[in-house]
Amino acid sequence: MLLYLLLFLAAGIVVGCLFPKDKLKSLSGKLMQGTVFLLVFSMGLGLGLREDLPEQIVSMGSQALIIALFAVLGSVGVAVLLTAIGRRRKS
Amino acid sequence: MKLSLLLLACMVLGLVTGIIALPSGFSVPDGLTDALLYALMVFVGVEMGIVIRREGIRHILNALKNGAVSVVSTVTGSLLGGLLAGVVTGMGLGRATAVAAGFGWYTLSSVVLANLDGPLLGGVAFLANLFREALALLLIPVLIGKKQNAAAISSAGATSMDTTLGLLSRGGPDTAAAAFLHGVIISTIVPVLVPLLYN
Repeated sequence: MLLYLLLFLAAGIVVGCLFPKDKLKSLSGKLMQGTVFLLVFSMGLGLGLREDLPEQIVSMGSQALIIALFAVLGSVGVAVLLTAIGRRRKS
Repeated sequence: MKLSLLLLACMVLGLVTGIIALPSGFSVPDGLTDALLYALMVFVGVEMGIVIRREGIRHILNALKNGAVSVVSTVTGSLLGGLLAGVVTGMGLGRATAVAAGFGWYTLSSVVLANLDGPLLGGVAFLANLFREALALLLIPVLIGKKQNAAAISSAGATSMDTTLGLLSRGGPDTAAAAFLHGVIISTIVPVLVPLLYN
């Protein structure tokens, strides 16, 4: 599946690089939006169809919150560190 | 913001439909969502190809040099955060870092992971990356106030090119330009990194 995903992505890049951009851009943008809505709906559907959803929902929310918090703090931390190093080098 | 709410409503609509349909034994056909995901990857690729053609690969590489601090911080910081979150939650390092590699692009990361793993991890990716956007909206004004513009851009992840760009541009025109390019580069990394880390 991973290989297919990357192959389809690469095929899209080639199409985007080769074809006239204006018409293609509005078309691919609209199709992308439509596909995203269908996939998000089907993901919600998949969740709703799970019998254990009520038990899972709290752990999903807490896992999501922890990942978001750590990812943001990690990004900010590394950026603050690199900025400090850069400023020290300049001065 | 409007789009975020619409997408959230769309997911809730699916969720409610699923709960109603649960007793009927209905299930989402795997082949259908796979085909949709492949189609989505093609459209994402087309958008990336258009940017490459418009900006030129050399220009993008130059931009990468200028925004390197933010890009490096976003990728390493998020993945380190993801690793730590994987340990804390016990959900597995690969799965947690794959979620963190959504870098705030909650639609793409969630649908990719929903197909690779299942709707639960997809849901976690949707929420985690939506939370990231919300956290960034809270943090950006504080970080800009403290002259930590690169950190402000990094907190936003992929959203620095659209939803959080307005707030980030308070840091000045240089920050706005860096934020936009950072968002473009990070968005290019997401569709490759999320499936790679999951595997």
